[in-house]
Amino acid sequence: MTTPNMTAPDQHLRRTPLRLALEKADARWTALEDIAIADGLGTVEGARHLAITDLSPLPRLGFKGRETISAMQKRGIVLEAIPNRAYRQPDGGLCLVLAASEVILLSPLAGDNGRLQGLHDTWRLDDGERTYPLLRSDSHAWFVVSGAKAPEMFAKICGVDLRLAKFPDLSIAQTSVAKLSAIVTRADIRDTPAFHILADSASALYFFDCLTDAAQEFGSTIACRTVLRNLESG
Amino acid sequence: MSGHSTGRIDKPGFGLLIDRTKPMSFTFDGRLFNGYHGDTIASALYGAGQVLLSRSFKYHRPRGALTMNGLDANTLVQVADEPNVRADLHPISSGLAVKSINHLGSLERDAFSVMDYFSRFLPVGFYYKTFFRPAGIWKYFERPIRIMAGLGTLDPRAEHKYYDKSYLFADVVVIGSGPAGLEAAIAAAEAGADTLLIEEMSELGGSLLYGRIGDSRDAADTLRRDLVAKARSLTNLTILTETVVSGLFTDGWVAAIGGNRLYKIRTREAIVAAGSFDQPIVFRNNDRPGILFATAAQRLMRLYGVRPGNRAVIATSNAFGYEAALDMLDAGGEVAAIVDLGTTSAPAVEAARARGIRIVNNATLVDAKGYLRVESIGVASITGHGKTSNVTDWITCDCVLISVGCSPALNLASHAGAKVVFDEALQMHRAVNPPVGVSLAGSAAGVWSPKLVATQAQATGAAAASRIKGEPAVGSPDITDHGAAAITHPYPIFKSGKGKEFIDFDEDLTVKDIINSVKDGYDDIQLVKRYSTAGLGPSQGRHANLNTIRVVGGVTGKPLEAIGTTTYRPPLVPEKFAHMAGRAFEPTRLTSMHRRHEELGAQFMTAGLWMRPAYYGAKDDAQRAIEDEVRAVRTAAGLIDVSTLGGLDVRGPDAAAFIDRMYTWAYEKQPVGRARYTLMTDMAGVVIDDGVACRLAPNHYYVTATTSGVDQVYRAMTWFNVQWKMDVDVANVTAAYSAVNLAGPKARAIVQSLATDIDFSKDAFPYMGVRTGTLAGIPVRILRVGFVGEAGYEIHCPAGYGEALWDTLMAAGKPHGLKPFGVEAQRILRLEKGHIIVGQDTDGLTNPIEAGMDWALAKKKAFYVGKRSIEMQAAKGITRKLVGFTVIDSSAPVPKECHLVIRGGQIVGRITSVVKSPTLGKVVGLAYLPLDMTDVGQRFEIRVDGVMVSAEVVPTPFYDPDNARQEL
Repeated sequence: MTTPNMTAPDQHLRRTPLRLALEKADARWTALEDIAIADGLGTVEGARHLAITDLSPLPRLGFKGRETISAMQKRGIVLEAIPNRAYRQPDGGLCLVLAASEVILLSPLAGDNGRLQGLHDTWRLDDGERTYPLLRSDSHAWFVVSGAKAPEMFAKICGVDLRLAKFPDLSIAQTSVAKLSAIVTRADIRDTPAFHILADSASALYFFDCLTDAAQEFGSTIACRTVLRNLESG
Repeated sequence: MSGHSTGRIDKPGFGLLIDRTKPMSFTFDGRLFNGYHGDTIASALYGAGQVLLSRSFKYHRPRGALTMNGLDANTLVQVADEPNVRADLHPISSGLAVKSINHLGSLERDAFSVMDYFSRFLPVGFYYKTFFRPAGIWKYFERPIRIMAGLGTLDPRAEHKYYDKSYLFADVVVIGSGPAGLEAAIAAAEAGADTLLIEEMSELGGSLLYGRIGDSRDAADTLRRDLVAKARSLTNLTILTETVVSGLFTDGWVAAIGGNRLYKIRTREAIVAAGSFDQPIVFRNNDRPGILFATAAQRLMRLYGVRPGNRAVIATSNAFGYEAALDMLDAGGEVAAIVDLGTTSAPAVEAARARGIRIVNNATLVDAKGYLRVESIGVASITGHGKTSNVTDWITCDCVLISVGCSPALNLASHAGAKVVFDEALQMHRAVNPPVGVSLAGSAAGVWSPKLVATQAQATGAAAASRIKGEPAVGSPDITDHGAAAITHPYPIFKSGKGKEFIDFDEDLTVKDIINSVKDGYDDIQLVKRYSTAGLGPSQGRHANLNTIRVVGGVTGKPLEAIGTTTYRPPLVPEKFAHMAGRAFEPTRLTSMHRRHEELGAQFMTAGLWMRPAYYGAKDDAQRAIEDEVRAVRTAAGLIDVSTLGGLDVRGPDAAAFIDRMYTWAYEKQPVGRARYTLMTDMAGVVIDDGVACRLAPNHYYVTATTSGVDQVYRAMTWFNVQWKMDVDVANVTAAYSAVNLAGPKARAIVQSLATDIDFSKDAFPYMGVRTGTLAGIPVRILRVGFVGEAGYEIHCPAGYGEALWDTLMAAGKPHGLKPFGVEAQRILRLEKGHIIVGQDTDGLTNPIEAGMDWALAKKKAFYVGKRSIEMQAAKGITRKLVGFTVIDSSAPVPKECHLVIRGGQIVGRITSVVKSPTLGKVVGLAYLPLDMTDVGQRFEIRVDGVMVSAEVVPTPFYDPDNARQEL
């Protein structure tokens, strides 16, 4: 049963790999382009304390190749050739510089109105640019772990020191979390610590289970994009 | 005699850790006992008069608490299904069921205690000398010995409990929160270091929790409160209580256990302020319950409000014993006498004397009476090194408090690499040359005087912080406490000639045992340890090593510094396997269609980290389900999830040349829109993977790889790409794409029923063609390949669309009889077609020629990885070849994979794949055979579970040899 603003994941061709876990959490679903995104989960207070949010339905796109940095700059992406550093974009999105030859672009929380899809569609192999797009929306699930307790929680599943004083805003760690390769980016949402994690989409349910298990002792919640947007808007 | 003469102290300043408003009940050996919240099992039992806690390991002698700090084996108990719980650390809780261990019958009337009378038949090292003659005798001894020996009981039905691990990070880790630890931690934090203070107890303070400064308890308590308040006020000082460090390793890696969690701590500086271990007096019956260290008595009184007895004798050689005597008086007890092994001079001595305590100087304890609890103690004058007069006095008492010396806790520093040497002046060991990043503070560093402790610890903390900042240290932590020489008696060992004087309580080792070890020829301390088992028990020699060394020194005539020490090995405290295992992290990969497989009743199998449907249907009907799936593919259509297949995008101007060098066949002239089989070999020419290379554009290949091989292929490609410096980019896009294989004579009709911009007609999209476009609105890459030997389409799409693709095809295929099929059916289908599986039909040495893949080797190419090795092998000649076979007698047992081919009684080959083909109605398979057996029609024997089965070499493919069906 859906209301006009609501939808069901099956009504869309694309589906988040976390659909099953979010359904168990009693998520409601709203449409976002060609995919449904979970809604009705969590609170702003919970997100400030410790919450896990699935942003997998939001667009993201990777580029890889020896001329990637200059190619991105040509496209108006704000970035420098400094590996493991994230850059906020004018539209609120993020550019993660993983290496001098690789970036991942993350959509703003509000969505990007097809901007990343446009970057993908306008790229031409024949142009000879030494940068090549990668389907990061499909290869990587996108989690946000937000809240003051996040570093303490991460200490249970990740060997990198992610304490706020040691891992400043816009830092990136390409590491192992719960024995899974993951890209951990700190990009606070206003004054709330927020860690964006990109990890193998095929392992998304396993990873979500690890995150929620590790977070449970801190009184964590599962949140949704709307909560993060409310956090963003203050 | 247990069950009297102890009790709770109802006075201020006693019972710091207990909450008397929260009484709770528990059972010990089925009897109900009462205690308070905050009590340990041992303190609550002691408070209720139950001094007897256990029976000793070998002689089953009665034992009571010794350290009240988890450092001895006397307090090991069983708590429900958990064995070997330390009763002096484990808190009580309502309903807790505690059992004593290591006895037959009741704890008080242990039938095994008869062993005490047979000790002459159990000399040191007896287990090296007995039970092996005559041959076969051991089996008669083993069972009773196993019943008698050992401690707690493992319960195989014990419930799994939740254990996990956590990382912690700090600039400086301070281990121990006594006065030295607190001072060091505060100094480090005040100097700006991010500091972590770790304490085993629930409260900070260490010896300040129960001890005195000079003769003043108030001074100790005030100092503790001040230091704790200061520590808690520092925001860069993190405090972790009820956590114990179990190991200190190189690179600042500190292992600590807190409850069910193992902390993996990374630090730049570690300060060991773990205090010291009390050392016992060795005299006849020195193990009787009620004889305990003075600090244990102080802990009982100050922490738990339990007086260890009504009438105490204190045996000491230092001020601490006198301080304990004052505590005993303050707790309302009586001190019958202080037996001073020398003539101690300290404020506490004067205070004791002022309170009328009898002091006997230059005397020691030589014997104890009482069995289940000490009743009186024999005192004699010391007449020389380890020598005494006859008993001069029997003093009635119900507890004996011992304080004759300490051994600094050097274990952790030693783990990290510090050398441990004996200091003759202090009569104690000390650590020298600790590695960079490890320092010691307080009594662990040989500093005991309160003022010097503060100075030394502060300097140690500040120096650690300075090193982190790269600044010169202010103040030196290298302080010598000359007063420490008055703490440890040089030889508190008084052998009586009869009875048992225990050196190692854990292992029931006496002075005589150590002497006999040396006499048996084991005169090195490491050999003494192994032969006698001294220090091998749960307390790991904390209270035994020093006296063992003293006795060895006495027998061998060597100075103690020449004897050395045994090796300190981690863990310092018991670590459970559960701590090391923690919460298991076992990543599992699910395809985007996984949920649909579950809904269809799939039985899953693992493929690397992936979960793949083996077949769809009930487990007890697997054979029929698999055959149905095979039949559907052969007669209508089947759909299999092949998302686990590896996928690599190879893009750039050199893409074709790169693929040409990576794989054995030729690719540079491969047309766009065509797929070509790929075979990858390593530098040794060994087959390591296969798949197809799809040329999507002149500069773009989409290459598939096997599920288990893709990571290896990607590694090889990136490695060679760096070596060759080609203008190409390689991306592992396995997770980015989901894929299905739609196969069967109805496959084309199914895809043609969907909205698409791809022309699926045979001419427009021939076998081994590749197309990109959309199918039912889903972006796809479609390969016309035929692994199962039918017309089919391998359809790849971005993973997010995978479930929708599955739904769409299943719905479209329903009118055509489409069925999902799993890996088991696919294995049959491919084998019917004679296709190999790399890793199953090849092994770690297989070259392409042996595997019959020489057709996939480009002869004219100048290079591909492995080419030279393969050519050398070809020139040398191969010795085996993979061939197809069928079993001649249809009623014969079906061979299994890895069954052996036998000729003349010798193993000459093996089966790699075999199946009873539902399509062909016979057994077909692949086998490696010697070259002289590979001609079609030749027969050979397979040993099948002990039965020889005849088989015949036949050509492959077994099914559709003209390949007509896949090219339909």
